[in-house]
Amino acid sequence: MTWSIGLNLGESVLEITAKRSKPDSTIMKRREHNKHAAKSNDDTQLIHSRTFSPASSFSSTISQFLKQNEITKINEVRIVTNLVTKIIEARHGSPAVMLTTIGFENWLDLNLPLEKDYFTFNPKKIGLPIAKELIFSISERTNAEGAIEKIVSEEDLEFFVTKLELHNIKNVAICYLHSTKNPENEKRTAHYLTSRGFNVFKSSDNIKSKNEISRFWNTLLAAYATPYFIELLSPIYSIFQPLLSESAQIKIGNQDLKELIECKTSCMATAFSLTDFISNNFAKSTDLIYCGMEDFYFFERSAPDINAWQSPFGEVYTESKKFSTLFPQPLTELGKGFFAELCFTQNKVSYDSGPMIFGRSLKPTFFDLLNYNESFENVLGLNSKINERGQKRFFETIFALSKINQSKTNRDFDEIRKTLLLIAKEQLLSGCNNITSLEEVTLCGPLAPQLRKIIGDKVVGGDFFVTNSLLLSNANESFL
Amino acid sequence: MMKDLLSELYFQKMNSIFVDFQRICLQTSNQEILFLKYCSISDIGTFPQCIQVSNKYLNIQDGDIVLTNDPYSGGTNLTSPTLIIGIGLNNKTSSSSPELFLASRLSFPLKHGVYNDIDAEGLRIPPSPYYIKGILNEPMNEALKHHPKTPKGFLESINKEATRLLMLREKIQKLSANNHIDFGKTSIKDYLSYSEKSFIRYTKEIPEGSCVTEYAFTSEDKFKLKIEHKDHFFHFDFSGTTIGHNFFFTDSVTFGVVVACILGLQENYIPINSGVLTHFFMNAPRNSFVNSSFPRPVSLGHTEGINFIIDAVSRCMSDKNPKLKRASSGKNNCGYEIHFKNNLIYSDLL
Repeated sequence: MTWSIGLNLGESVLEITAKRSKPDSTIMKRREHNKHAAKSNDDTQLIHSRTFSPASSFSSTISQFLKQNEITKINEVRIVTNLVTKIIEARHGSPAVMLTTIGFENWLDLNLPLEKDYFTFNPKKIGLPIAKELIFSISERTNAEGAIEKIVSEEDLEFFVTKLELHNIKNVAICYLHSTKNPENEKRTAHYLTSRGFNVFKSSDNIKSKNEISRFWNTLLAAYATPYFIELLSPIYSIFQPLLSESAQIKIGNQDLKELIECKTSCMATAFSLTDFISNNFAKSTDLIYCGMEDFYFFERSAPDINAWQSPFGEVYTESKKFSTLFPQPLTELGKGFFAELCFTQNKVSYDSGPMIFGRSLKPTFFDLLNYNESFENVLGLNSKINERGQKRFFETIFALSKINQSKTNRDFDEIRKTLLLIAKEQLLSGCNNITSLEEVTLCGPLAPQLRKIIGDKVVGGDFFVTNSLLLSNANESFL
Repeated sequence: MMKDLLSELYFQKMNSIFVDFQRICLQTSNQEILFLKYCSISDIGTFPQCIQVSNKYLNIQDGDIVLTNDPYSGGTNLTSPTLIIGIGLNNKTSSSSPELFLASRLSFPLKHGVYNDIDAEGLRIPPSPYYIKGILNEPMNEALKHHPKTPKGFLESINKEATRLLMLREKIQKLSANNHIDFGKTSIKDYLSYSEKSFIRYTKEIPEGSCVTEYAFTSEDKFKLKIEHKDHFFHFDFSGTTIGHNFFFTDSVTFGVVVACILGLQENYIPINSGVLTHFFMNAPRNSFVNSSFPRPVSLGHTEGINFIIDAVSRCMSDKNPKLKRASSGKNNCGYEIHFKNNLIYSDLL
């Protein structure tokens, strides 16, 4: 009995679907009698699991899942994730060093955006992900035509290595000007540093990039995010590896997990594996909103390829499909705004503490509002987490923040809740560019039934829409 | 009971309608500013004036689009043309005034330099009818096309923006007809009234009182500024400010900058509308450099010079709030432009 496994790795939510590759004899007999029940037969062979926990404990969750379901042989593991972008946005990466062409040490810093996009007396720039002291320069030069004007010298590299060793940092992003025209200097540097035991990320690997700064950012963020990314994925690899059949592979998006862990491939190549999978397979002929447990994404139909991700630090080179991250997100906090004490803020919680209705958090979120829209009984793993104490706390908090002095009735609560949902609708609408009618938008994902009460009308796919689709031989809209 | 949330909802509805525009202002026929989005803080004071002046002289109807870049008619620089469209909401006769006016502003590369008068800075377009009831005014279009000072790409961008505005007008009319958003007098009054109340809550964090400063930012040009904050109103008095030699500002730009300075004291974003703007008053003596008259050149003042107004406000208010003290902006009269092969232009001030 071999299995296929589909995983959706989030920041604090793990979704697993396991599918038997060879159906057992009971099911084969049933199939002969009912040819139209192929889907439901497939469904009976699907086992699902959803966990809410820090990403660092996903490996133990997976291990337990495999053991409980007696999964001993696996012929395929397919993973989608947005973990890399989450690591970058939450600044959970590790110190890395950047080595660049002399004179360009401040280039990335100069181009950092401001924290606020409106006038303030105290404008602040977004900070660099690494300390400025970790940006070094070296005397080398390749001109715009690709001719090397100054070759990088071993002496300079040796001096650089001594500085690196003082900082005790192993990951190095090499970002030389015009290196896509001629990567020779970067290759020499990479070879030297690799032989000295450093993990090297070359900007010239992004050969199609035409923008130097976004290419540098891609490389630096790869060096920054890789250590934690590997720390999270290595244990998962170790759990699956002994169970894999001979030709089996573990893939994140289109990348092999083993090569990622060995740093043969940049982790940035997996950054958009989740959104690319959804866009490529389900948003060809329809505008789509993916209503995930942690993120709401909008995909316009037949979205074009893009080569820039608007990260918190500015444009980062990428090769992915265009999508929009909507606002508010499921775990967006409710808090003080200009008009009201209750509005959607820019802060988010994670499922570690969770939304208020889980009973542990003191911060009301959009998720708490959605709970009253439509029950979560169809979302595996959620109902058991929602408790009365949390719901009561949310009820009280809404009244406290809305400063209603009269008796707190369900009717009053409903009125507040509905207005907040209308506010959410307008803000979600802002993120769905060029949509003339929200009724044209299709919703999918575990929270789609809850969001349907606010925007859109058509819900497709089930609770484990993404991980189920990963395991189909031809994941396409016919599945929907 | 729910006015705060309903005001937030009203704001978000407008935010959503105008999400694709960077510099835009929505005003009612009663000259109430409902929504304003800016890229430069000079937009805050100039947008309302631009709409008022244009409507006063051209009597904008539903579907008409007026084009202007004249700083003395509510523009900022000659490289930032404004398009104003009239939007009628109810099916009245064509001679009725529209209920709403929408202004959108574009940005073209700035032409650096020091000029003797406004017309030397470039092509100046006073408020002119560019579209009449949704149809392009061909003679005007032709005149712009053949004018020697019309910048490259200007007409294409203006026409594209006019098309966007006409589509937006239809969208707003449809949303209003479907009761998605109510632009009736009562709703507007409630929204502006609640905005005012919310703004008053913020002003409580700013110490009341008055402060005075004199600030010479060149050897010849001097600000004299008195700021008074009393009963949630802010008065800016520039009496005593000199006539100016290199830097000139229109009064609407000066007003927009001082408003932005007060709003900029807050960490959170404050939506700009009449409920907020009615708490600001300014006295800027005619022909002082903060209230210049035609034909003074304003490009330098309306770009680099804005920093000097901000410095003056900061110096004045730092008496009451030392946290506002900041280093003065540098002064220079030097800018440059680099034109690349692929038609990209880089411009900067030294």
